[in-house]
Amino acid sequence: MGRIQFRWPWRKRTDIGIEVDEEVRFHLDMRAEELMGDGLSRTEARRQALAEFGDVEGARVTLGRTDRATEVARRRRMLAEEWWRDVTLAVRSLRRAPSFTAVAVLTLGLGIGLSAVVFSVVNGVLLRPLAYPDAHRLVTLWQLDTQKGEREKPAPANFLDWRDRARSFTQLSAAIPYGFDLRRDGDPVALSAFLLTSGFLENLAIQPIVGRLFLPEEYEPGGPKAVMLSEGLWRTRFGADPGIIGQTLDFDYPYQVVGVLPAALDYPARADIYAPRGFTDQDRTLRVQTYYNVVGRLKPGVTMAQVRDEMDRIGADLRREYPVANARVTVPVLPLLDHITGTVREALWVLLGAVALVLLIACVNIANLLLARGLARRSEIAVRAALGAGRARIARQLLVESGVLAVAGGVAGVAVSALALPAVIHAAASAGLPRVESIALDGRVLGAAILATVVTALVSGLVPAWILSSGSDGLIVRGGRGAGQPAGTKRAGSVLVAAEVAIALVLLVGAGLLGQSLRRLLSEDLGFATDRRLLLTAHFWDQFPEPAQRAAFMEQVLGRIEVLPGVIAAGAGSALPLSLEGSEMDPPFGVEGRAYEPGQEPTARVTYVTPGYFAAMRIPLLKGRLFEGTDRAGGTPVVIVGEAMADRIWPGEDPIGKRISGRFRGPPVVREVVGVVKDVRHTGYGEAPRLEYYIPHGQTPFGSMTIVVHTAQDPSALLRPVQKEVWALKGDLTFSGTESMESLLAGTLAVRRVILMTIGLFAGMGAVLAAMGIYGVISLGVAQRTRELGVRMALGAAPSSLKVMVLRQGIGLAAVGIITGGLSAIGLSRLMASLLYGTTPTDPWSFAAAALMLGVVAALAAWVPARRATRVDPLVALRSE
Amino acid sequence: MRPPLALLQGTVDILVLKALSFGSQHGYGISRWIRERSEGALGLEDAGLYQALHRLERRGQVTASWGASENNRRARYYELTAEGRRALRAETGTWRQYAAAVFRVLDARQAEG
Repeated sequence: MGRIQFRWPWRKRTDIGIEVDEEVRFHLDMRAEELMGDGLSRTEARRQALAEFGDVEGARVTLGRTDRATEVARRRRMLAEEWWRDVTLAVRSLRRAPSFTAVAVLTLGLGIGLSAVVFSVVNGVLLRPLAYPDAHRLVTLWQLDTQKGEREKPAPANFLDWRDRARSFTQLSAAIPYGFDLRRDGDPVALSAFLLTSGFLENLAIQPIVGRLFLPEEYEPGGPKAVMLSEGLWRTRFGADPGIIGQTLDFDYPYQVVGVLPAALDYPARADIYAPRGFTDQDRTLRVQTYYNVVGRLKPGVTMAQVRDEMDRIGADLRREYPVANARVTVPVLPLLDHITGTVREALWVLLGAVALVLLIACVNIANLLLARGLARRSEIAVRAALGAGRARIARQLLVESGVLAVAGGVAGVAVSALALPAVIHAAASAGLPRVESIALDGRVLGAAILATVVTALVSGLVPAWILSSGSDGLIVRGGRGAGQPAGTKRAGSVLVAAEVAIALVLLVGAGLLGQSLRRLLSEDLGFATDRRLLLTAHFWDQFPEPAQRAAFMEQVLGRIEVLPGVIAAGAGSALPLSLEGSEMDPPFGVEGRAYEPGQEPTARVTYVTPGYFAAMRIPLLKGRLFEGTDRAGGTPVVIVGEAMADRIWPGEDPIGKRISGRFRGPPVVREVVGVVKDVRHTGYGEAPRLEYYIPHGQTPFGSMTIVVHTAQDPSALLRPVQKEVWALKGDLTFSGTESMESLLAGTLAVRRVILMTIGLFAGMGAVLAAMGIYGVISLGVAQRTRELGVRMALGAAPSSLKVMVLRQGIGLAAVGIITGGLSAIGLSRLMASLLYGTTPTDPWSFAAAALMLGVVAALAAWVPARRATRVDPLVALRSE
Repeated sequence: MRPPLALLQGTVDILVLKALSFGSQHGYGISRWIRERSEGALGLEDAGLYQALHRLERRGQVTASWGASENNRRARYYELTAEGRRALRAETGTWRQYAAAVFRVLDARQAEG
């Protein structure tokens, strides 16, 4: 039975139909013949064969359907088998080159792992919605002083007007920072608090974990006094006892505890205590003090554009109605998430871009390695081509190899990121990054890692697959080591290395620009000293209701602190630079002999200070005198102005003896300028000095003061002694904040430092990878030109000239990369303009430094193989063929 | 002649597998073999037989290929795969147990216990 084995790779639908027909016909013919042999007539036999068969048409249909299903399954199986064969082939061939595989998997693992880490930060901080229900409808409202260009927290009266007029919100609400003093056993403690207007908790959709929310009557001024505890305070101070509900806590008045709020409530910040805040008619007049955190929930269907339009309109109305206080005030509306992530937003996107570039360099590096490896295997490839493997088949085989590497790298990368993430979260938290608690390896991060793996496989595999398979037309089966590499490969290798150098340059330029910005910031004179300064903030309005009491208290406290051992100087101010404590005041003021249109008066920052303040802060006096103990109530009202204010208000004149009138707090008081001091940057580096003046605490005894103590040693060692001196005078006074000026300063730069360090790390990795690329391509070139080098040496070429030849090749590659990288960096660095300070995105210093650094690295990377070139033994080289 | 017995679908499969256990065969050959072995007692329609063959092919229990028949015509030959042999063994065992159990019941002489 000679059967012809014949099988199409697969059968088409029409083929199946024909085959089924043929099979059925064969059966019917055979049966009919058999029956005719039994003596039946042709028609009779035919009829019976059909009858025995049954439903011929139905069978044709079902058989066709079954065969088509069979065919689909078979094709799928064949494909899977083919892929599996390719994968096992790739794995086997990678295992034969363990060092290559290790380097490749490590490089890709690091690249993918770092990308996953950075993306998980971006995802947690920027992409995940806030933990409040329907958080995308939450917005915050601000006051923008268009002249100062500064966004401020809204003033009470403005908030109330917005609340009454705006229609876009379910209810506009505010949280107002406040403090309560808890006096139980032990040291009195200051508790952080927020006063909440009605609707705030409803807007954030917060439910109490124990007890209830505030009742409407508790929001009324003069209504029952109620507080809610934070979950944190409830657990740490009250042992998570549900019985606390209904009890009374004695703050300035007795307050009844009505509920406990979950820790999920973290906007505007976490606090210990929450109390309801109602409004009196007096609140409707406060338009200068700005300290409200305003939150609104958009009604369903209201867009950001609509609410912005509405607030623009309301802002314009209020500018007309209150031309003095609101002259330059507009009302920006921000999604709450954008406000919380704030300045970190750009920085994180830049970091993500940077890590993507690192991954790209890693991919290019692997592409290069694969190319070099492919060259070593080109006879194997040629043999496969000669045996009938098409170009697509060979390209696929090579792609599968890069795919296997990428998958191994991806697995390693996810492992790396899982290991690194806790440390990264810790670093992010200590740098003050918002929302670090939502950073995690979630499904989206894993998805991104998988995507990165796929892209990695393609980027690192496509070029080698294309180039190597194009040389696979069976031409070089015989080619041994001596045959020159195909021109395409060499060119591709050079292009890839130049690309690596270019990307590394972009990263280095970015790091350089950030470094330059930080240098510029640090070189700025803040106008005050930050080392060994201890800060303690206290609020004593209630303890000392009389102004004279407050002035005397401050004087006595500072008198006691000054004589403590280890104290160099001590003073106090109502709002200290860098400190978030204390209220900022920027009221308009009048100048004697000038008339200002309403709303056109200049404004300046006011600080109430004790005489010792300037010495304790080391703010130098430029002209006139500092405050003295005699500047107290009853004396001539005096004022000390900052340099910028003196220059702006009295240009070219002597400000000493000039008079200004302040209209803040009480009736206008005319004050005489007695001194000029250097300007102070209140929010830290990067802020332009503003107009400001100082008023002696003795003449306007403010009740919220920060004591600053200049110490001889570590300031924290003096915290207890200083507190004891205060408590010796007033036993129940609490401190709402105790810090050192240095840690405050570090805090203002922490995010910037972390970003710089991270980008610096990425740039370093990029440079190392690029160096590896250069080294690889040059050494491969030297190895393949051993014979040529040998000939040159035999003909009398000096080893040093060979070295120069090879070196020049490496530096040439680097130069091409540096130039293209420089051009790309000019375009890309603009994207990080918002992160720069005092540095243009095309800062020549940063570009030059990056180029120089890469040039040196490239020269070093080329120098090693260049030295090898000079050691070629002509005899060995010539015989090597 | 008594009317042929109707067959259950699973039964056709096992008969086809058995027919192929002696070597590759085309559909007509299988049909004839079953008719001869059962002396025409089984009412197996050829349409059902072919459906069973193609179904077994889809399940991977037989493979099919075109070859030349005894009278030199193109015929579709079926062959058992390893999977098919396994299925035949398993099905045969099940059948024997099933039949034996049925017979034990039918052969009972009197109600016991």
